Amino acid sequence: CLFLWVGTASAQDSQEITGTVTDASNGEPLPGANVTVVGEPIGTATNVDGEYALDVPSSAEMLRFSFIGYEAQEVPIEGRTTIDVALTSDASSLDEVVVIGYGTQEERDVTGAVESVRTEDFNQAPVVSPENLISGKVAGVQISSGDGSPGGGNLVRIRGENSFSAGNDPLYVIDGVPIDNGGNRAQRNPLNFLNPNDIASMTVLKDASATAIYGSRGANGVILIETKQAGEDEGRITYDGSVSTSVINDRVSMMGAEEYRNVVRNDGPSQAINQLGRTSTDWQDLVERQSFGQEHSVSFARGYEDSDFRLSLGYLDQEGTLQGSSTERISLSFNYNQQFLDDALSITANLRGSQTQDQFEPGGMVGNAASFNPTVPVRDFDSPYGGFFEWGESLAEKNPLAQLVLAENEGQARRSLGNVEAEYRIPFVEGLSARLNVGYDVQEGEQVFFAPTNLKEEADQGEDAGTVQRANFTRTNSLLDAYLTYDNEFEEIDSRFDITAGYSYQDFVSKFPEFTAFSLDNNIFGGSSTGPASESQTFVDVVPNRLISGFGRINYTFADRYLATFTVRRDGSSRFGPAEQWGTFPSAALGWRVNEEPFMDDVDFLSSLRLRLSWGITGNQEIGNFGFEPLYTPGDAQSQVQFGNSFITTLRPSAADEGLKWEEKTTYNAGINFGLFDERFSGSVEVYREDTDDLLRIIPVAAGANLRNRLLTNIGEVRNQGVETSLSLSIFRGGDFTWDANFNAAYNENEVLKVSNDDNFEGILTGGIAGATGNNVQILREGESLGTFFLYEQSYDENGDPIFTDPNDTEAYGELLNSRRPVGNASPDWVLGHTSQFAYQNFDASVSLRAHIGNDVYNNNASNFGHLGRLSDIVASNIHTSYNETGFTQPQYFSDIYLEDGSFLRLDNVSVGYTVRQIPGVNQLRVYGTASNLLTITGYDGPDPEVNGGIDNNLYPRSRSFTAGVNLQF
Amino acid sequence: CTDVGVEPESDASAERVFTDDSSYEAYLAKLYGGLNVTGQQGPDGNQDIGGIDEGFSQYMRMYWSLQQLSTDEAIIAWQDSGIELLNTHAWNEDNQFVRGMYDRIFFQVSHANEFLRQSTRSQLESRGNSQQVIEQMPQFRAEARFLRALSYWHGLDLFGNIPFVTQEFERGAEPPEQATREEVFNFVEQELLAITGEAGDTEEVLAPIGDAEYGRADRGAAYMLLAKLYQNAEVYVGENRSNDVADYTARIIDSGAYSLEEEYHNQFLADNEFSPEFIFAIPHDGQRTQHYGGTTFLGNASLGDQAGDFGFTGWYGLRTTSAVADRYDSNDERPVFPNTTGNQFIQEGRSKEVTDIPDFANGGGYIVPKYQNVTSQGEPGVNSEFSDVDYPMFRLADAYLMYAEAAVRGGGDMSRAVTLVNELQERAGLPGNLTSSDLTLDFILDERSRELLWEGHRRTDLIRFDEFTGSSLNWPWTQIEGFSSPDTRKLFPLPGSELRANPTLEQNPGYSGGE
Repeated sequence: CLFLWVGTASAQDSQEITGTVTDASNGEPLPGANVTVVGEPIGTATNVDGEYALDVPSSAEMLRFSFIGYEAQEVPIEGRTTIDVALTSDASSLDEVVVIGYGTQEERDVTGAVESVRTEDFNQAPVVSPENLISGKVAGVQISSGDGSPGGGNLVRIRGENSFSAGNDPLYVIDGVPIDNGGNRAQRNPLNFLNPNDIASMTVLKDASATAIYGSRGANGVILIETKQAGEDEGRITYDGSVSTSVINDRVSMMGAEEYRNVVRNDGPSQAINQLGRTSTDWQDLVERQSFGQEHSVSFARGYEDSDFRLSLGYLDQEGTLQGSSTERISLSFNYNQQFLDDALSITANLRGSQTQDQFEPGGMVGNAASFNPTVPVRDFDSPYGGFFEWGESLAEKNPLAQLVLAENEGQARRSLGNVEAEYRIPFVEGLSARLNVGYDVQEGEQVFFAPTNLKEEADQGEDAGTVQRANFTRTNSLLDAYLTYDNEFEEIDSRFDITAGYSYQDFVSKFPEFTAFSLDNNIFGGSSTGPASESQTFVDVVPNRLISGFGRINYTFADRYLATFTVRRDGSSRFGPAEQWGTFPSAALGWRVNEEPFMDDVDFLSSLRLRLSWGITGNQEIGNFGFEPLYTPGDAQSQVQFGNSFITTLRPSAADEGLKWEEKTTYNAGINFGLFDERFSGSVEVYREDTDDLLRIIPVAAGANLRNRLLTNIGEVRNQGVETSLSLSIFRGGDFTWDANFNAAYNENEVLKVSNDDNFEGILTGGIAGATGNNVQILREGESLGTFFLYEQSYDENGDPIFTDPNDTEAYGELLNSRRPVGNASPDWVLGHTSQFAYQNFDASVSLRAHIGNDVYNNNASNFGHLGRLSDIVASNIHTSYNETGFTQPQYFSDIYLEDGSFLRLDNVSVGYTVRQIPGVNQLRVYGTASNLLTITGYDGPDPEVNGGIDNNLYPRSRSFTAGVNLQF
Repeated sequence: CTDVGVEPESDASAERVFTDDSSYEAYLAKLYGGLNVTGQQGPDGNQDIGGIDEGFSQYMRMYWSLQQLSTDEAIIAWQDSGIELLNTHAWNEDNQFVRGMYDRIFFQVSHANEFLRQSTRSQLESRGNSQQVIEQMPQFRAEARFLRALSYWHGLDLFGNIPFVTQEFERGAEPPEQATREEVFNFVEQELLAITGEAGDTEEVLAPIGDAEYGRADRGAAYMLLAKLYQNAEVYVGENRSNDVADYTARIIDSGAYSLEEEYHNQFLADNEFSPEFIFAIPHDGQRTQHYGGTTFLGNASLGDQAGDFGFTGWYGLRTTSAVADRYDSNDERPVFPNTTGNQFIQEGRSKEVTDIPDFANGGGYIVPKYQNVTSQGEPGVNSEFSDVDYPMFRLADAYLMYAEAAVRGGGDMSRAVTLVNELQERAGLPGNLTSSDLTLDFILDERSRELLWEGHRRTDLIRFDEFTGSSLNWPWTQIEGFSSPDTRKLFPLPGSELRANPTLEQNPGYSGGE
């Protein structure tokens, strides 16, 4: 923990205690160590020589000594006036307990690739989504915000991408309840329901030894989220509050009004010249804003003899840096533990609920703001479109501000997740416990969309103008886990067994009722009434699925040095047909604590060394439901067929692959954990290979053989292999100053081994871009990685200017298209993270950096907007400044001139805090300031190189934000 | 609990669906719907075929694009991947429109087969369906067979040798085998003869000519399809079947079930349903059959900022070439060009020649607002985004011209041919005084273009007259000097995706993977 705090001494009926605090390993004094009276808000810190003096009330019984990186000690006073203490380093956190899924394990016994991040190491920026707490913290885990929207979704990839179509998101397990990753239209990110302040730890399970216990859902890795419990706190109230402001970093590089005018006058067709206006409008500037946000969180935690509870209430309000966008959250969480029967039975209840309210910026606003003619005014008082300037042509781009002002798009979602877990230590059999976990996850919400009749795109529809849309959703997920654990040591055979075996049943139902009403008579009631609507469309979808599992795990330790873990899970899923319904997912791992060997006794500098090897198979089943059976789907009221004078609602059976089965990933992992100099330097290195087989992909089916031309089937194979390393260093420790640092680096290589049964298959085009329909710039091809770009090489003349090839020239352009080849890819080769934490007296500071190396970005804004053809479009529209260099008269979508190296180094967070001493009645007060996304070093020309999927196109721009906050503990 | 099975809720298995009597009509409607809508949600959503933009994937939009954009009748401004290559005879086996059409054809074939599998008498009896359903099923099955024959005809016409499957084929089994064009021809012929009651077995037959509900096929539609098959038999199987063309078109003409629409243009307006001239039409409704193909595509794509005058919103795409503009007599009332009265304003500022294909507004070429989402009374269609104009797949004027062509080619009666053509001429505001010597093959080809402009016939016609490839037509739109298209372009390639999925297939000559 970074907080250095010292309370005040209230000297009434008291006596002074003095002493020295030293480092147990070398006897050196420890300056700045905390000395407090247990149960009283009284404390002090040691001086440069490690000495302290503290007035202690005579009623006090115990002193607590703590210091960063050392194990805290509580020492009974027993009438002494001098108490000297030697603290032992705990920098290695070797004895910490990690959550591993259906149980916990001491970190030193872990055989799999598991990394845990706890509260004190979380990112401190104003974090809306829980994933962002550990962005850049864990080797091999890439967490990139999808864009800059408030509370937007994140791309979370553990060791690269495995799957073509079954998703690459990890499984999230919150307090033992695996949740549904499905998104909805009412909020940007369904995980936002969790208040980050309630999270105690996030543990990433990476290799199959760790994830196989989650069987068919483990292939993309698992993130276990544990929420805060009260522990032994004696009635502590904590308040966290912050205010923040954000500004957009950079925007799409479009021409300004003057520059645009010049280009139009010099090179434009008469249409474009005629469409030049007299004003200068910076559309991108108009849709942006400096945004503000605030967050408050209050919690109360209290422990009793047999029970404890924690209650927390959170509120967050975050504006987006684009006008009209925001997110708001109210969250409540309650954790309760109760022991019965002399602690033989313990019951834990976790209950949390939240409501989020998202305001969405109008769709297409980013693109329209970049694209709209910069010489026309925002307002046109003769306009029938709500007084906004619009072009008459129906397909012309729309005034971005008109959409913003006139349309309405918001969502409200409520989610509650809870579980009750009972653990009963069975008498008579030592080490045997029975556990029952009953959990639920209920989400529901609604998106409301309203577009008035005078909005251009509505008005163009004549009588159909005006739309009210309400899209609802309800997802429920109920869980029952029952399992036995047996944990016992047998000294006679020098062995320890930790065995878990159980059963799990999880049921999911999702419901999506929606309606759209249009053709409005008036706009008076906005999205709240369909009264004025004379037409409507409705839609309902109800999707059930079920997962039933049996699982088991044996952790075996021999002679405290040799470790073995075996797990198996058998999953049955409703997503597969009767023939393939059940799958078995085994894993095995071995570990060797080398430093415990007698022959290592003389190697003093090495405080720990553990070697690990693991193998396992996991699955992925995120493929939608009933792909194995031809099911009949009714058509809606707008896709009917006229027979005579009546309209018939149709029925259509789907295509089906009866043999559909799980994607299967086989993982090999070898790892080393080490600690040097009493764990002052510690780290790990992992080497892995992960082969995913039977990958699901929608492939063309032989014509006439099935009921559709494309069918989801198991066909592909992908390999990920790489190296990950993490290093924790106590770089400096002495005087009043400490500096701890963490470095992590991960290299991943991705290769598509198979996409088709045909050896001559050249691959399929993927990666659709903006600009005409059906154009793709990426390829899925054997031997290449996922996300590989497929472009032709731009040729240049002797002056170094790019040569333009007219798409009308069928032959030359066709030849060029045929010369497209795989070049670059969207995934980084290296993902690097670094965090430094500093403490000086009452100050603390942290810096975190993150880098991606070797990812390429296709600048779709430049390729779509950076040519003169923009001026002879339906209406003339703004031109990307890349035109100044290329001079292209028509789009050259497939030129590699638009592919750039997207490597970057980002200063994610800089944070400075000060802990105030000696405020009566306050246990601790810390004030801090954080700057996020302060600086990005990159060679990429577009606004931001961090583009998930590699195609930079109208991304909600990311922003730089500044936060001031306070943490108060009473 | 170890029962993993979960019953679907918003979908249902065949066993559950077909216990309800109405499901058979609903599935049959889907077979017709396959020519019309693009998925189970209008205007888009839950798409029928994959791998292509849903809007593009509408049956008639793709059929029309292949049949028209490859000819002198139409060019398109857009740059959607592969569309411009239809204009320039440069399509290849990966062209999404070629692939989309192929996939649509076999979507129809597969579902017609599935319908036939699900609607056998024994199935109906075991499911306890009502006597009424059991009695109407033979005609339903005949209609499914008609729709299958129609798509097989499109398939053999566009692609030549194609995979062949019937309901006997087990769904999900090995890839189907390729049949020769002749084998498919024979199958289509036999099927049509069977469902019109000409092949002995009269159990599964269509409704008598003119008797079907609007939008459904009766024997008139089947006769027309047979006549189309015979009309092109020379191309398909090297036989002159002009006698059969004359025979079947005469049955249509003589049936009295159809008559010429008095006002030519009324056939292409928002209230054209129940037109007396239609033998088989695809009913469009701006509210109930929404999609981005058919006449929604034809109307919108052929218009720009003038679209509002025709009940559309305008997509700035289609124009015609000077070859078409020059083909009409100045008194001909059929075209919508400056050389006719009325409608001149829409060509304002346009050149007759196409000068720049991608530039709709300024790149020249007359626009053709033939399909107008406005009623004959001048009222707009129910929805400005989606057309009410029914697509005339088979209409009587076509049967007239087919009869005439058959006569010229040695089947049928020449004097009757002259009468029929003069009827069309008179309706077009022309004197109608042609004599048998005027009815040359060249005249027939041009007259078909004038009468049936943009109705999806041109490519097949040009191939039959051997003017689609080579340099016999001087294509005014290719912009390539000395352009001459190789004969292999008379067939589209089997899609690359299909060759990979079904390696037993042989590619058409001249294409990658072919000879």
